Amino acid sequence: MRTFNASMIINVVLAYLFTALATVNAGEGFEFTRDQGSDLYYTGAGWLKVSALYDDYPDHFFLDADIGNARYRFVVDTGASTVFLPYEVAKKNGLACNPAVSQTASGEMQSCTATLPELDVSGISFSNIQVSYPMYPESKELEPWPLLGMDVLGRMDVKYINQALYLRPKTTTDYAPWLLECLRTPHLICKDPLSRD
Amino acid sequence: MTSHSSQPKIVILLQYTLIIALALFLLYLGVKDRPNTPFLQRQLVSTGLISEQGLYLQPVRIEGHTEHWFEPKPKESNWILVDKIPLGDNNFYPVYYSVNGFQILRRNKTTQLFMSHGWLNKTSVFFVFDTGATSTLISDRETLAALSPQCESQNKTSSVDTIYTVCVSHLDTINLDGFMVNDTAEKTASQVLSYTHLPNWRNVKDKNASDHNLLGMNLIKGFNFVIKNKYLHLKPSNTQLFMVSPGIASLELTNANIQREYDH
Repeated sequence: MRTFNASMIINVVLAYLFTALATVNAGEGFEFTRDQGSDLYYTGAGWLKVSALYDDYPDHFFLDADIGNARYRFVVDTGASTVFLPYEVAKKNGLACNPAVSQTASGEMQSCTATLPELDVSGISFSNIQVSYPMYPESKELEPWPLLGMDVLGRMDVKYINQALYLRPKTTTDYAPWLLECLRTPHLICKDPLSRD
Repeated sequence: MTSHSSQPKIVILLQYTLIIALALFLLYLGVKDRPNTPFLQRQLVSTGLISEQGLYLQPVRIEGHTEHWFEPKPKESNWILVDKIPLGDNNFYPVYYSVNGFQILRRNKTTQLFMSHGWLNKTSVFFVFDTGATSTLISDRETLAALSPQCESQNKTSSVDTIYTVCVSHLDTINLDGFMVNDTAEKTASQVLSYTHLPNWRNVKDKNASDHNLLGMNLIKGFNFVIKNKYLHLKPSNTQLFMVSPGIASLELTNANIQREYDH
């Protein structure tokens, strides 16, 4: 006898939602304006399009991710094993410090590792993410970007086609609830977690 | 008391002949019935990169359609082994392509980062595939010694913990195991055929100094890539920065021809 569990039903519903909205938008995708950070663009097939946001970094890809009640701009970095956070961001979010040594482009660095309970990557949600951050504050002139490393990228499908980068969770259950709520609304008005309304 | 065979020699000879003939007949039947017999003698990879010896096509039914695999094949894939990079001690780094012409990159088991290999001015170099690096960075001292960089200009750059100065030097050729820089493109010379390195690389004594080489966005932007099932599939994009070597192009063409021949 075949059994259906909750996750199967949710998957079917989510797949239906994306299919239905893709039909409404004739495959054009969905663009969300956000109060904070950059706007989001999802294709009809559920791919998040990641843009090069700065003229100074035309070949790099940036996206906004939420930790707690704050939004940070990350660089998509296949050269980082895990998520990397600047010292201030880690301390602001009260992360613990398990001492470690990290290999960087310039050599070894005294660092900390910790587990982030929740990371919302522009509508794709992950829990229990391993992160690393410097053990000591960086020099003030440095201002490093947070890095979205392979630990998180490995949980998604990634494609880079004609100099545009697209990300999609491996399972539809990894779409954040607020994004799904956003997709359900008839006029595609997005109420993301950090909305001022 | 002992017994002796009383068979004449001619009978024994006939028995051996019969056994050998039967063995040859069975061998003939076995070869005749192999589904891939028409392809056995085919030259699959004719020019360019070194091919694995003894490759042959084997049609395999996968999820309702036929794929052509080469032997010896990696498990559950349709990859083609096109080259083996010597690592010493009889170890090799295998270079795989899919039948669609994508180069397959694998993750380093320790760092979980995708590794790439190529030839810079005919020097063998392993890289970390790094979308976070603006330019290609060479840190391995042996590689730098082989390349003899000229430090044509200097730039400021940064890692997560420090700001430092790097030299920019240029290359004559880049061949990422079958994907070569198209040096006929005007913008290629300055953007793609370049790499960075520490100015004082000869004097670096710090044992903690990085010896990793990074394949940066100045090269990656010439490709399309897809990460799926723990592998990175890489192929030149329409930017024309990279061209496919004749060996790889013929591999893809040969596969297409064989596919058509088999399907009809």
